Amino acid sequence: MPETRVLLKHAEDPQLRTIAGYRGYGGYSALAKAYRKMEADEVLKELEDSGLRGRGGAGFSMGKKASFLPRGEMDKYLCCNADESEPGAFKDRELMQRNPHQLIEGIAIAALAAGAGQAFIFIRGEYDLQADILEAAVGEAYEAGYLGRDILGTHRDLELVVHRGAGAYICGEETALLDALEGKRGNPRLKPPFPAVQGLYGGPTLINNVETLSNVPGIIANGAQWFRGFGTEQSPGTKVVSISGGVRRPGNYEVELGVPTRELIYELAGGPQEGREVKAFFPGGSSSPVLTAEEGLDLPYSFEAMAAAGSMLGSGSIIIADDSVSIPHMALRTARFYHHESCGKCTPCREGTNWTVKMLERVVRGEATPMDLDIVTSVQENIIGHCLCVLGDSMAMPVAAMVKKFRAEFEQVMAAAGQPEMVEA
Amino acid sequence: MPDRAPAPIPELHEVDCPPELREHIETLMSRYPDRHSASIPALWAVQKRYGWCTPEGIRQAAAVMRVTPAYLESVASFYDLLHTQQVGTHRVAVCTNISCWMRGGDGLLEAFQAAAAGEDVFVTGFECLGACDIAPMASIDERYFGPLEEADAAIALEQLRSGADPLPHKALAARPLPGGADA
Repeated sequence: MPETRVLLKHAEDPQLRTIAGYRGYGGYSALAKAYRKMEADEVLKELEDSGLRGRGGAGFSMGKKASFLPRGEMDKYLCCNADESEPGAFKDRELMQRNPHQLIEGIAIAALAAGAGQAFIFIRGEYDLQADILEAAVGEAYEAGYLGRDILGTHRDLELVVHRGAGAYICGEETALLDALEGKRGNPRLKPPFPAVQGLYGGPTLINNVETLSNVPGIIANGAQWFRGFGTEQSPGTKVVSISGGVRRPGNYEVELGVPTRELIYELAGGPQEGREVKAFFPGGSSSPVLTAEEGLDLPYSFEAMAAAGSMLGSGSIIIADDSVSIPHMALRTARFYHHESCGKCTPCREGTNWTVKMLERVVRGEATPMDLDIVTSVQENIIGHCLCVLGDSMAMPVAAMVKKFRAEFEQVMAAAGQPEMVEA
Repeated sequence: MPDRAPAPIPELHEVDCPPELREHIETLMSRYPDRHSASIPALWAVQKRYGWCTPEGIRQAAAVMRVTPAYLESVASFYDLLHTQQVGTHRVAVCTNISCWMRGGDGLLEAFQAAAAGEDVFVTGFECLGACDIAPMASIDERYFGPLEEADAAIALEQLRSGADPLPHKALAARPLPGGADA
């Protein structure tokens, strides 16, 4: 199966990251079209018609989200969420590193649609190289008149600042991102109010993922129908899929949404290592409920198919667990991540992630009883839907799925760790 | 009770802030509608200058930003990359999250810890660094390298010691797309 490169087209050309290189491939023509020839409402309508769904995890319609911002003259903001930190996800890193101007152009067009005069790229602090590349590209875009005052002589303004985070997964949660950007600890806020109404500095704010915004120039340049020519009815467009774990060629591959998951894993990523088989996989980053090979390999890779299978496409990141991987140990690794990253603001997440880690440690040490597996499950049920943000759910969903689908293996691990009588009891 | 009052906003003349640092933080503040937004960038600037967020450096940034040192400390202590205790001249963060764990991240962390023993190098395990494609991987002085073998740890440490760029052939920056050039 070949890739369908739209966002990563020409990405192997190192000149693409310069403004001259990007313009050489037609870059910034969509910005010129939007700023010179289109009204904000027309841009918004094109985005809505395209059916572009957010690529950060939730999969919500980007155009619809932008339309939630109130009209009229006021201080509005656009934040590009470049805090990619979910285990398994590394697509935004690739897009920013190889094609920074595509993102900047997308931000400028989206800001026009939303009526935002100030934009920020909130990039995780670990992405030092990519932040340097973005800063250089933003500087070039200012110099060329694509950012700043009176863009291309249209009397429209946009300021864009690259803001580096400092190491906290929670800042990818949109309201935590806003707190971090306002200079505070990155704690999520209670919603509603949603950021579209009351976001950064209290003003209406549109928050979109890097890949979502990177899709915008193509849609404006070629039209919504062109975009709908890729993918499925409910999942239009291409997707940069990050594939990692037990495969021969881990990496980012851009495909049309809806392609067979099996081909993604076996053809593009080379399938499992010699002598290994796919046992299970996270279809959409570590927050998505794992699918067994039988459940998942023959599904189309789309938002709707993954949702129907009880999981999610999420950020579009596949982590393969081959048959050498111990699922209970993988569950513990997963839980430890969320425990470490829980901001501590709300109880179900703070305590739930803590208890889950402790119980899973007992499981792998052989100190647990089968009843403890029921308690682990019940703790997950008490986390889901009860937290300020989705971080708690993001641990509870995959952990609950692993315990449910691989219960026998949990029991075997407990037994093998030295207390078989407890398993038999 | 007076000595129990919270530390006030320090005056600039009390903190002896280097002029370049002050100017840098003021530039950062000017980028945002609200000066508080510059807190993380200002702490980055402090860390870059002093190697970590020293109490004195935090007081200097607080004086420039007109906030209390406690405010900046509360921010610094939230984030994994801002160090409120001294760290080494070089920093190595080894990812031990799911994809790196599957491909030997724990062993790689141990190899770096062993190679750096007694040296002025800060080695730490880290949650997902967003580079599962080059698992197992490490961030060395904020740049990514992988896939690494355990033997690379000693090589990287030797290169850092001699002032050379570590593991140039394993730098993420130089890596092609896995699918090659456009078909």
